[in-house]
Amino acid sequence: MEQIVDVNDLSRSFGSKRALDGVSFRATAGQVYGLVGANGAGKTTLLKHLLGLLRATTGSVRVFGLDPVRDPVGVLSRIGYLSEERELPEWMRVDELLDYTRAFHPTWDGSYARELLESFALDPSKKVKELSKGMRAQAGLIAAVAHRPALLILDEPSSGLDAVVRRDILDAIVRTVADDGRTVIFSSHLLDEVERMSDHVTLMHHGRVTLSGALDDVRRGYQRSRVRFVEHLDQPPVLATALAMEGGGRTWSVVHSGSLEQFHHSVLALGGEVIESRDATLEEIFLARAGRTRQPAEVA
Amino acid sequence: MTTRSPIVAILWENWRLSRVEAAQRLAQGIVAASAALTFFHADAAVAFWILIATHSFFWFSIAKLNGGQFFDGYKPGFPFYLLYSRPVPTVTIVGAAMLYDAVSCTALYLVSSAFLRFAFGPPLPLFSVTVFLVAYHFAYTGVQWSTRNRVVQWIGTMATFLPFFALLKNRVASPLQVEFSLLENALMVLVGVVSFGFAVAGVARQRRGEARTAPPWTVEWRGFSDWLAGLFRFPCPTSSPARAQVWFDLKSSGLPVLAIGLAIAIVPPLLFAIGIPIAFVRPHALLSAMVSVPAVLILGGNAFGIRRKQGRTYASAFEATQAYGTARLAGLKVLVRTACLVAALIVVGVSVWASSSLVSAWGDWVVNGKAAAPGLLRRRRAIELAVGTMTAYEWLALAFVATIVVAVIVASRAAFTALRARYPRRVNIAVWLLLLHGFVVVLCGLAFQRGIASPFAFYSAQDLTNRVIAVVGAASVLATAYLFWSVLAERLLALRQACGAILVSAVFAAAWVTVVDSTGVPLSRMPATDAVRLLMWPTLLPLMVSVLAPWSLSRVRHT
Repeated sequence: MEQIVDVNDLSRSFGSKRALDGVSFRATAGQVYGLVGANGAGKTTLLKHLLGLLRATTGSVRVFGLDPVRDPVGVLSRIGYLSEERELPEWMRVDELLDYTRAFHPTWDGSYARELLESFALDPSKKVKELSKGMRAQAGLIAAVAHRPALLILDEPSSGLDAVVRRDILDAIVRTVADDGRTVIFSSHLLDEVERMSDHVTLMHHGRVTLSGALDDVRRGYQRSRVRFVEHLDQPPVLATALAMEGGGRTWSVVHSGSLEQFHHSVLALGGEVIESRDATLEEIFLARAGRTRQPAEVA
Repeated sequence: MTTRSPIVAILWENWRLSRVEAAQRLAQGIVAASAALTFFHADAAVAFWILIATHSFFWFSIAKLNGGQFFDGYKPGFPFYLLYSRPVPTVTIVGAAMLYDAVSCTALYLVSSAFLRFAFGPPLPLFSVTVFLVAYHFAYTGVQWSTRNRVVQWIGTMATFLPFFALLKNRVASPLQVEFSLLENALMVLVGVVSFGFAVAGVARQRRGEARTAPPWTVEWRGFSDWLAGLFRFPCPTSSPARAQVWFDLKSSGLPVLAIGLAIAIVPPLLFAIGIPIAFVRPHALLSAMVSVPAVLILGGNAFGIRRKQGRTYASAFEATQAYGTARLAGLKVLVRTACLVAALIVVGVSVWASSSLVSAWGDWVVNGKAAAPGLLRRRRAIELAVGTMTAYEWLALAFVATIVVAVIVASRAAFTALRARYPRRVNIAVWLLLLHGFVVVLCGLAFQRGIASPFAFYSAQDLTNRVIAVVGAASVLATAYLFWSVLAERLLALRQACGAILVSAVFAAAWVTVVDSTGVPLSRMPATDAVRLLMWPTLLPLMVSVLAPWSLSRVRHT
């Protein structure tokens, strides 16, 4: 498959803060990539590098085989972008915004833009400054997708959108783009959204990619198991493939990678047994990898 | 927490946001006024006006912390809107911010004038102008903060500035002394209190979210308003990115510049005409004619549309992510702003020239015991004569030089704003070094005048200045060469674009020589070093700016 994005060993610091640390990321055509991570994990910084808004100080960034800083026209003409801040010129009317954006993209699909305007029930004669946050996101989304870009980059696209628009329209847009053989990269805090829309998921933590792969593979690679020990344990048990644990006493809930068999063996070795196992959800994997395990008094 | 804590917190926030600018303004005022006193042997009144202008009339940034200037993309209205969600009464928020603005500016003036009094001895007024300064700042911030309407802000600013300026001008006596009567002081206090009330009421409306509410249109007027708006609305061209970008820049900043230029152009003829029956207005008419051109030139800043928020300067991500080359973007932005600025300057120039003919109708106007009108008319005739004897070629050269000079001003200010956004610390260090150099030179001059230092110190200072100019000149040549290499290596500019820049600079140099020649300066009989100096900067500046502008925009676009 055609490689759309190729990021190699990218690092970036802002002052003393390491925003990206040796990040490598690849995206191919026709796939939806979800970027997840806590605040400050480096998602937006990575997306800004893809757009050429940030210059790669270490490592390399190629989009469509081009350097987005050296060739902004070649890259940006094939990208649709919705920023997290929804920064649009306040003095423009919605129709002016679309006309202005259209001028930069010969592939602009006017009927698609009108269709989306109707779907969102947006008044084209309204000025941007008169729009609510959600309406701005909708206007920005139309401007980002109406030229049918080869790569759609959405930074927190759900922010400000209501549940109906998010589920019915955003999902449909993303799926349409991917089904047309084009690529979507989006960042989100909403893990259910990433799970619903993505083909691939990349987890970032403290500027590093801690997990990346096809969603199904990722989910298959992690299980959540309930284990019970004969004796009461004051400290969490040391299990080889465990990433995170919750619970206390005799019963513990463990998110772990690797094979189930290997995990069974390590539990048995400590005098315990596995009561049940299932595939971990993305949220559980995220929390485990991000090291944010909750420690409730008692596991249900 | 004590009840004073929110006030202290607001004052602290003000201080954090304005301290760098405050320090720079303090240094600028002292260096400029000291240089005027030391090297130009100016009298104390000149130093006084320099300090007043620095700390009062041009103190914009504190009043508009969302953006220092009109085209910085600032959000009009009260700048500390983030405090709206705090459990603090509006009167406290507004009061603390207004007080900080007024007191800090007044304190800076007092410190500067006290220093100049101590160092040079001229009797600069101190506490006699404090009420004036505080009241003016209250009035100015009151106008700026009580409304979000930019037009009202501009008209209000003019309506505030002119009477305050006129009052101060009339109270400056020779030898330098500024005294206001008790009634005037009381009136100024009243203006300050009323301004505070206006500001609190306006900010309270903004805090409640009422300021944006447009008045409802009645059905019968709706059609007319749409028709009227349609007259001035032109649709965004979609045929090419360049046209769309020109439309964008015209709408966002070009046409406002033109509109403000037209508004400024109305003032001189109005004042000159009013000056026919009312002699009191005549000095103000002349002043308006003198300041209208610099006032329009001020509008040429920030052509790249760098935005400012509290503590943050940045380029718009919306524009940065449009599929358009950085050099072309920079070029278009500079061109559009230059075109609008030149048009505004022409309108203002024609207006001033036409207005000046009304001086003949002023009759006997005596200033300091002399008839002033004949002198003005003689100067007007001299200009008329000089312009009338110019050949078509010289006219063409002058028009070209003037246009390129405006373009260079626009491009260099845009580049400076961009560099300041990208490299704030380095630019601040450069500014401080410049101010420090000025300060050292002034101190050397002062020491020589006082007989503290030998003439050697004075000449050393002069020598130092000459050396600094030479170093800056050499650095500029090297910087231009580096920038050319950089923009070509980064493929910001194509080779033919770079050649175009060189060609324009060469034509500019030729036009400059023609203009210099037409003014009677004997270029060919000059010493070679003077001739080189006269020609180097005009040749170098357009060349340097033509590569610095896209380079600096690139640094902001791709940080």
